[in-house]
Amino acid sequence: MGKAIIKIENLTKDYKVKKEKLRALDNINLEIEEGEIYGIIGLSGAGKSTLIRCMNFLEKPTFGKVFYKGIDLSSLKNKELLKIRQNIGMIFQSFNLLEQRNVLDNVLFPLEIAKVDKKVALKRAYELLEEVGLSDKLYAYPNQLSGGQKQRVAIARALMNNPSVLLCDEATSALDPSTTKQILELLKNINKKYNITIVVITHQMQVIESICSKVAIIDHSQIIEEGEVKDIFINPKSETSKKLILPEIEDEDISKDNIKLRLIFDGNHQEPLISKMILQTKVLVNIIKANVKTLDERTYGEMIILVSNDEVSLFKIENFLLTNNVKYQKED
Amino acid sequence: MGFNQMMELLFNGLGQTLYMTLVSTFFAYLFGIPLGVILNITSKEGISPCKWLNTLLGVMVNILRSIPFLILLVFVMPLTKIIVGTRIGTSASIVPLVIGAIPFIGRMVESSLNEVDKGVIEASLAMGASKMKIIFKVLLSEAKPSLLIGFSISITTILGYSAMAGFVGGGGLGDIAYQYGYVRNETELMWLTIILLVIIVQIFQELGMLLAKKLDRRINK
Repeated sequence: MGKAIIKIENLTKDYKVKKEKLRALDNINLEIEEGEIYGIIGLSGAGKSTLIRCMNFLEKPTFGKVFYKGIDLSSLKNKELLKIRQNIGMIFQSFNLLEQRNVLDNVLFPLEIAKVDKKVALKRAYELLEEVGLSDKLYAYPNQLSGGQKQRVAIARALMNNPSVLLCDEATSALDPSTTKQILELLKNINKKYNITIVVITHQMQVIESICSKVAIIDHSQIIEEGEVKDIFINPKSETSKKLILPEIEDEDISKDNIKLRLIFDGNHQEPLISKMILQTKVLVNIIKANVKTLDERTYGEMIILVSNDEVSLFKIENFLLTNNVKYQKED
Repeated sequence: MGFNQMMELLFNGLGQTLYMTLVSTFFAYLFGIPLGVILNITSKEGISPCKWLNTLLGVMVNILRSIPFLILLVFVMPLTKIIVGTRIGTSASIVPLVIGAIPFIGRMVESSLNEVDKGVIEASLAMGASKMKIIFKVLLSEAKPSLLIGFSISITTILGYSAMAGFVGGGGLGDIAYQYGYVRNETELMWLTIILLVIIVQIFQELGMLLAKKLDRRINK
């Protein structure tokens, strides 16, 4: 395990809204290790945007500390903080490009701030624009680009200062699914190629699944679960986690004659299990939801089935699941 | 009055009007831009929120803006005497023009800067940009098209004010319209000056808008 590049200790953030105190973050503790892609997922309003802004001190914590490479950010003078920020790239949901500057000048902007020699800056800009696949758009203005292209410019811009960390605030939320995929692929490559630690804030489980190694689930200003993505995915503990992982499942109107079973696949099964089950038990099964994903080339996921609520059928099904080592839960 | 005489009169008036307008606009912007910037950055959503300063400047601007220009013209005469050395004449009318225009321009600049996307400012802060860099490289340059539209509105407003300066011996086309057109009842001359004023306003307005449009990278596809 690497060492923590970002460490958050007992972080609490309050806002004052019309003289009323609003707690956006409540006693958050997090460690993000060098080189990993760390996801923070939560429903909107959970406090995740505030959390990521505390990492570069765009928002200052009310209590608690944020360490970057062991440096306590609250101990820094303004100038020192500005220097640290140059070391932490950030991209946004709305891209936030300067609309009056062309692509090249947008990408050059961070080095103008850092007062880097123009020749050096230009060389780096060409390199990075090549990397993100926009070498042919150097002189285009943001207005002429698609969402995906704008985010690519923003990524190139965020990488100009050779940052150690890249913060992504809902970076793919404004993009269509196929563009999202491309941008996530790009982020993954950047993480590997430059060994940049990436922190991703999102409300889309798909983003976490496809690029993150670790995930924290944030709900009502608190972190409710944290750990390896596959562990959380296989066995989400809280209601919110379940909602995020299987967002489409809603309590459907199920008659009392049926019972709902939640089957969990933990990567050990390959044969067509459900067909086998139906053939062996001769019990009719209704699949109401299935969500199976491949992570690290193993299959994980879960399925929700409806079985007739009589003792015989239920016994046969449960027996089959037990003998085949399939974890399951009865849901109400 | 002969034709040549009339032309000379109008030509001089035009020169004085342009002189008053351009010089006043220049000085009003010299003070108006910093005022607008301070109003923007000290506001609650600005990059350096400062409630007392924002409120103080806001109140001052509103007071100054609520004084009718004709009253202001007379009111600042002692100050004019100190700065220009005389209370009357073309140069003397520049002082009240500038003072009258500063709060107006300050508000115009402020509202242009308010239009700059907050996300872009946040992105610049995240890059480690200092406040000065944000003012010059983000706020003022991103607001350029809107500032130019504001400029063409301001300059035509100042032109309008300068016509009033004629009443205190400021000279210019407004003075001619008043002295000859109203006092001596020479209607033709009055109409001529009005037409001239309309043409100048038209030119400033269109030029400003054209420039704003041409320089705006959001429209220029």
